Amino acid sequence: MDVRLPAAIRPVLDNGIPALMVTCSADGIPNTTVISQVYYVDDTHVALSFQFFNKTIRNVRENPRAHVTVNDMPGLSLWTLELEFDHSETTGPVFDAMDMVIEAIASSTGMSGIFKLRAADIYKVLSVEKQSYRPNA
Amino acid sequence: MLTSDVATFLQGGQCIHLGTRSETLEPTGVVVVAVSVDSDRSHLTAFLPKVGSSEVLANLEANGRAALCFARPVDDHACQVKGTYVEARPATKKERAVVEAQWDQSLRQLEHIGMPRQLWSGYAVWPCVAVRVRVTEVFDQTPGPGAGAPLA
Repeated sequence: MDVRLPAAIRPVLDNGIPALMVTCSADGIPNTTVISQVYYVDDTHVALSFQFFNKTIRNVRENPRAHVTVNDMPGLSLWTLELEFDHSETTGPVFDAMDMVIEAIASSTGMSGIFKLRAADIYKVLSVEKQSYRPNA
Repeated sequence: MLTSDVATFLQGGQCIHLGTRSETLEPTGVVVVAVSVDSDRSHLTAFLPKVGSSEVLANLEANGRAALCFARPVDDHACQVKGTYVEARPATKKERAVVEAQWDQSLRQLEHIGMPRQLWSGYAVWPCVAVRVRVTEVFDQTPGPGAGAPLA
């Protein structure tokens, strides 16, 4: 049965706060990085930006699993997503929407010419969990 | 071994994240609120809020593989430390001041880029687990053409 993203996560994905992503190579070396956006594709998929051919991109092509944490500060929570890389898109509405956000981030942070979207990587959501900052509060 | 400059950067109140993986290569991670580099610059201690750290700690006990990303929000300067797990223990009361000072530095940086510290006021920074890691490699992770280069 497909795992579905709850409606409550939509504003969290759109809040502009960078997310954290962990991947792992085929030989078992983890890698962690900051990512600028987690784009909602539909209730079973998200897209992450492929800007540089870096370790993260190499890892998910060797081992498709990824772990992403997004901050829900007003909700005093973290959301964790277990993902599996599905495919890349270099044209189309998801790519165009992500490209526009990347351009906006690049120009506002002085990174124009460095941040450039090469592809929108589409991931299937395997699990989603909300965890309170203060579970005992 | 970390250079003096890198060691200073790591302890400068950056945004820090620890990544691990399970025996079946499923990655997972947790926010780190402070880091202390040993005087030998070959080991560091990462302070993880106890809340939410159990899966990462189980992975470290099982296979020892650790990756830490350090990112400075004000200019996107970043590096990645790879290492092997040595031990985990409850952070001491004496270490609490170090943890809170670095967390405060981190919040100041986030304020500088427009994220008010009040947004993080609910974050359970303490108690922490102190995770000691032996550093094996360190890489530049600043966005741009130098990303991925070793920082010896």
